[in-house]
Amino acid sequence: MNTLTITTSRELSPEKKFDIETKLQRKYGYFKAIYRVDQTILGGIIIFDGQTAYDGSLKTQLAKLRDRVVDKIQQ
Amino acid sequence: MDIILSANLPLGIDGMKILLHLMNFLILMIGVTLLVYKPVKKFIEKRQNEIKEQYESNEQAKKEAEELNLLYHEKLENVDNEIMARRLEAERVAHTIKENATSEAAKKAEEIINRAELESQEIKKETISGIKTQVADVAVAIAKALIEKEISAEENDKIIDQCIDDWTNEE
Repeated sequence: MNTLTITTSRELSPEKKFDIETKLQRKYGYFKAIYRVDQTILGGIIIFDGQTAYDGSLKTQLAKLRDRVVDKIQQ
Repeated sequence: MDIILSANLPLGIDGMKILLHLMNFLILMIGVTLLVYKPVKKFIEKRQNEIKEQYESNEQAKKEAEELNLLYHEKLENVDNEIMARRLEAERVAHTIKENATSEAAKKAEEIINRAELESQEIKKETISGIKTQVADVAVAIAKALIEKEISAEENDKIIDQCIDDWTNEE
């Protein structure tokens, strides 16, 4: 059985956790979920399945936005 | 003859004695000629030859000395000419070096100026780019601060749902 580490910026409600797990079962089948809270990601979610990390955090998106702005400036 | 020899002549002159003296003189002359004159003459001739040889040798030496002297003067003259020629050559070379150095220095100065201009333009470009990058950083920092302050739980949930839908629909 897979173990997924799910990181969010704030504590999720049980309903939300259930909703997330239901959606992820389509991809992973049955799995064990480990929830972590990390305020530094600002918002969004990071899912790590042991091999791949899916990073949907706002922190990463802001960093990408910054890089795009800087590239634009350099042009 | 007998009369002359035996009689006493006036003034006490004795003919016999005169004859004897003459014979003595003759014998003397013969003896001197044989014993003195010929060796002395031979000696003198030998000495004359020696002197002549020495004279000729001196003349030869003098001639050689004159030739050497001439040669020396010629060489001296040549040396003077050579010194003059070398001095002119050295002056010419020094002048050429000086001209080259001047033009080389001018070229280098121009290169330095061009390089300085390019570098200053690069620095200017980098500074402007740095400032723009800082502006972007500030904008992102402001956005981050706003997000931290104003994003609500519902908005966060929407973001989470959007991410999960994207990942699960990827295949």
